[in-house]
Amino acid sequence: MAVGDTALQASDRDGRAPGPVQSQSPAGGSVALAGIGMRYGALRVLHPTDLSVRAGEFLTILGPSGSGKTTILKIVGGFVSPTEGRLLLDGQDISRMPVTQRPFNTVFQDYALFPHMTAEQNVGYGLMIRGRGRDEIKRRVAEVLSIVGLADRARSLPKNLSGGQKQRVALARAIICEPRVILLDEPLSALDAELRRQMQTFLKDLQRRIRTTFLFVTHDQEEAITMSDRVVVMNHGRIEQVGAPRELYYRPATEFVAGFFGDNNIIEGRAVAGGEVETPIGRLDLQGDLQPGQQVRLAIRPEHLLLGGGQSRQAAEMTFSAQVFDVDFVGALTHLRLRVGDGQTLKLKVPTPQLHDDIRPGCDVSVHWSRENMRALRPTS
Amino acid sequence: MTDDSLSIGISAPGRKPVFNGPALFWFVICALPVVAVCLPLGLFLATGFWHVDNGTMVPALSLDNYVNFFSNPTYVSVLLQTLTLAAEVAAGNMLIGFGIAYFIWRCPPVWHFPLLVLGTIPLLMSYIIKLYALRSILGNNGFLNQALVAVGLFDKASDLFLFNQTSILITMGIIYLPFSILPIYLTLERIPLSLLHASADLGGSAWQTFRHVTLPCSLPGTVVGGMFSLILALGDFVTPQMVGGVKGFTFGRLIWSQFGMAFDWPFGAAMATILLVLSIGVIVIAGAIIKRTEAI
Amino acid sequence: MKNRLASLIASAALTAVVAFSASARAEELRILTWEGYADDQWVKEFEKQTGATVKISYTGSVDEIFAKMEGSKGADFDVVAIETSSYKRLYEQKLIQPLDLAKLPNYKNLSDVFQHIDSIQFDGKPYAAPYAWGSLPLIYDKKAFPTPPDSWAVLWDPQYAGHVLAMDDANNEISTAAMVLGFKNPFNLSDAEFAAVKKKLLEQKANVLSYYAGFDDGISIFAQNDVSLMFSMGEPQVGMLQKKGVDAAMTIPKEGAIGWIDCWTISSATKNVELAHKWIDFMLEKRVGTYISTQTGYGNTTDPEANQKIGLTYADKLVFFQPPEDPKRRVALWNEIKATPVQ
Repeated sequence: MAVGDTALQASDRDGRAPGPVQSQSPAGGSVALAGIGMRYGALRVLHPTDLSVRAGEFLTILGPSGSGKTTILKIVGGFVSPTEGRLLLDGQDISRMPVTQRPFNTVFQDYALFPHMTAEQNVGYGLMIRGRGRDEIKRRVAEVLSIVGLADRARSLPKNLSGGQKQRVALARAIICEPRVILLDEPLSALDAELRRQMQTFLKDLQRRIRTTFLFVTHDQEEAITMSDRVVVMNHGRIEQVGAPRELYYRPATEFVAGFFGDNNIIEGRAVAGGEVETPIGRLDLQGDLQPGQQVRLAIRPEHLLLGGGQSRQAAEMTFSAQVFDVDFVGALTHLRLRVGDGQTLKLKVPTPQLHDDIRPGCDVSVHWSRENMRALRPTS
Repeated sequence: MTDDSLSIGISAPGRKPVFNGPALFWFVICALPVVAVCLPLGLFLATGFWHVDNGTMVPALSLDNYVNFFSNPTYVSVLLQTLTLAAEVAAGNMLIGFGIAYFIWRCPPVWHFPLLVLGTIPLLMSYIIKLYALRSILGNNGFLNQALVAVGLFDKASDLFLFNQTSILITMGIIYLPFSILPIYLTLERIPLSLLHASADLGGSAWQTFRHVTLPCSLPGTVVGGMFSLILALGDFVTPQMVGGVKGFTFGRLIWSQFGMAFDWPFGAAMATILLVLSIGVIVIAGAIIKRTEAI
Repeated sequence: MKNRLASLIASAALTAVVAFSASARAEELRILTWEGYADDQWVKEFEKQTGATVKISYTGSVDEIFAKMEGSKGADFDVVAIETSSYKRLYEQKLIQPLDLAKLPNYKNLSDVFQHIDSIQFDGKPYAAPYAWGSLPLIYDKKAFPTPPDSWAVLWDPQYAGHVLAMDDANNEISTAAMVLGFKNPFNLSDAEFAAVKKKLLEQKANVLSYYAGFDDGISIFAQNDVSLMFSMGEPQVGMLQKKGVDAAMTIPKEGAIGWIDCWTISSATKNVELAHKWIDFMLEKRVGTYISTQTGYGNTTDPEANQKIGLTYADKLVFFQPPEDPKRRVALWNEIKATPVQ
C-alpha cells in the first residue's frame, strides 16, 4: 500500500509538467452505437441500442452483471461482432474494422499483462507490433511509465508487481499507442477499497491530461458517480437512463435507476385527476401529466427529507406528521426511520449536529420536503 | 499407571500423548515412501557397486562396473546413440504434440474434451499391444504397404517402414505422443483468453500474437512434453528392439541384457544408475528452462 | 467395532491352528516347477496314492528358481524341475542332492539318450531325472524352400538377405554359430573360437531382418513380413506359424541343433526324501510321458512312440544345453555384435 501511495504522488508530480504524451495526443474520438444489438441464439444479451459517446468525455456504463454493459465494451473493442446495428467512430462506420485496426485500446478486468514480459516490455508491446524503432520504444515507454509512476519498476515481471502496479502497467500499455478511445472493463474491481479510491482519482486526472475518450464499465455506482462525465445505466440488455451523475442520483427516471443508486424512499400511489397522486400518506400534488388511475411510484432521496414543519409554507412544500421508530448514528450523518400515515416508512439522512437530542424512537415529529425533489418513476420494462 | 491408562484418548492438560491417532497416521504416510521407494532405490544404487562372483552377488564396494562401462567404447557409443535417438523423438513430439494440442485448443471448447480423450486413448492400451499393432501396420505385408500399393503410389511392398531407424522414430513418436500432447494442451488451456485479446487489441496479428504470446506462454508445457518423451524414449528397451530390426539396439536393451541374459545384476544396476542420473539431469535442465519461462 | 476386531483375530488364529495341525498330520510335498509340468490329474492321483498333500509353486524364469532356492538354501522346496544347464550352479551351491536309483524303479523307462546326460551327473552320481525335452530348430517357409535346407549356412546366404530372423539371445546365437563353425564344444569356447564366432555373427547380421525377443514376437514378425528363415526358439513355433497361414516347417540341420531337457531334482534341504523320490518315480511313468507329448508338443523321455507321433525323433542329433564357460563374456560379445553397424 505504501508503495502505491508514493507512486501515485510521484505520478501526480510528473503530471504537473506538460508531458509529451499530452502534447502529441490527438483529441479523443466520438463513438456512436446505432441500433447495436447482440444475440446468442435465442438469448438476447443486448437489445438494439443507440448511444453516443462524446469526444473526450469520461463515459461510464453502469449495471449489474448480465446487464449487457461488457457486451457493449466488447463490441466497441471489436472482440465480438454485434448481430445488428452499426458502430461509428467520428461519424465513420467501423463495424467491419477488425480489432487489430481499431484505434482503441483496452484495459482488461484481469489486467491481461503478458506474464513472460517485464513491465516495460508489456508497455512497449503495441509499439513493437507497429514496428517502431528500438530507441523510440525505449523513450516512449519510459515517458509513459513515469506518467503512471512506475519508472522504477520497468524491469519487473508482472508476478512481482502489486495489484495497483499491475493496474497502472495495463493503463500505460493502453495509452502508449495514443488510442482515440480507451476501453476499461471493470479495471478496479480487483483492488481493495483504499487503493480503488486512489486509482479513481488517478484515472480521472489521467483522462483530463491526455484528453482521450474513456469508456468505462463498472457495476459500482459510487465509482460511476465519482469519475464520470456521464453515466449510462443498463439493465437486462437495455439502457435505462443516460445522464450526468447528479442527474441520475437525484432525478432517477426509472425504478431500476432509483433502486440502483440505493436507499431512495419509494412511495406507491395511484394517479387521480389534476396531477395528484393518492398515496398511503395522503394526496400529493405532483403537477405532472399523469393518467388518472395509473399506478405510480414516487421516489425521493433520504437527504431531501427535512425534519420540522416547512418554514416557507409554500405550495411546493409537502409537510407531514410522523413518528420516529429508529435512530441510527453513523457519524457525520444520522439515519432516521419514520412512520408516516397509513404504514409508510421513510428514511432520512440528517447531519448529526443538526439533530436535536430529544429526537429518539417513539417521539412525534413533522417532516417536509420540496416537491421538485420528488419524481414519479417510469416502470422498468 | 492406572491414571495413564485412563487418560488414553483424552489429552491431559500440559501433557501430550506421544502416539495419538494423527501422529501414527503421519508416521505411516511418511514411512510408506521410505519403505516402498527409498529403500529399494538405495539397494539398487548400492548394487551398482557390487560384483558377481560365480553366480552370486558379492556386496563388496568398488567402482569397477562404472570403470568397465566408461572404458568400453561400444557401451559409451550405444549410450550416445540412444541419447541422440531420444532427443530426436523428443524434438519430433514437441513439434507434432504442439501442433495437435494447438489444434485441439483452437477448436470450439465443446470439442476439447472428446478430442483430448481421442488423443490419449492409446495410453489405455497395453504398450505391447500397441507395438504389435503398429508393426502390423508398418510391416511388409502390413496395412500401410497394402494401401500404398493399392493406390498405385508403390509398385510393390516396401521395407521402408519397418526394421530401420525410421521405424524406431515413428513408433516411439506415436507411442509417446500423448505424453507430449497433454502437458502442452494444459499450458495452452491455462493461457487466459484476455492475453490473446490484449495482443490483438494492441494491433498484434494472429501470427504476432502466436509468436509473442501463445508460444512463450506455452513453453513450460512444451518443455515438459518434450522431457516426458525424452525420458521415456531413453529408457525404452522394448520398442527399438521390436521395430528397429538389427538397428534397434539401445541403452535400455544393454541394461536389460545384464539382467535377463548375463545375470550380472551389479553391472546392470550400475548402467541403470547412469540412466537414472541422465534422466534426473534432463529433468533438472527442463526445470531450469521452465523456471526461466514460467512467469504466471 | 471392537467386537468385530476381536472375532476377526480369533477366527484368524483358529484358521492358523487348523492349518498347522493339518500340515502336521499329513505329509506335504512342495514342488517348484513350470506351469504345465504338474497338471492337476497327476497331482490328484499322486495324493490319493501316497496320502500326501502337494503344494505347487509355479515359476516364470530360471532366475526365479535360483532366487527361491538360494533364498531358503533349498529348505522351501522338496522337488524342482529345471533345465540341464542350471545344474552345475545348483550343485556348486549345494542346493540339490543325488538321486537314489534304488528308490526309482521307473528310472529304467528312460530312453537310452536320456540315461546318461553329462550335465546332470556330478561325482559319477545322477542328480536329476530327465522329463521333457525340445530343441532350437531351423524354421523355414516352404514357399522359399520346397526341400528343407540341410545346413544352418542358409542363414548366411546373401540370397536371403533381409528375409532371416535371428534370436536376441547371446547364448543360443553364439552356441549355434559355434556349431556351424564345427567347434567341438559349443558351450566352452576358446579365445580364438570366440573371435571366430564374433566374425561369423557379424557376417550374419548383414542378412538379418531383426533379432526377435520371444516366442510370439518371432511369430508376428515372420507372419507380417517377407521372412523365409528363422532360428527358432522351439518346436511349437511351427504350429503357431501355420495357424497364422504361413506354410512353415522345421528341420534339424546337419550341424545339429541345441537341445534342452527339463529334469526333476531333489532339494538338498528337503524334509522328506522318500516322498520326493516317490514323486519323481511317478513322473517317470510312461503314461505321464505320453501325456507330456500330446499336451505340450514337447518331447518326453519315456514314450518313444508318442515322440514319433509329433515328429520329435531327433534327440540324438541335439547338443543339450550346458552351462556356458562365461555367460558375462557371451553377453558382452553379443552386445558388441548388436552395437556394431552393418552396411
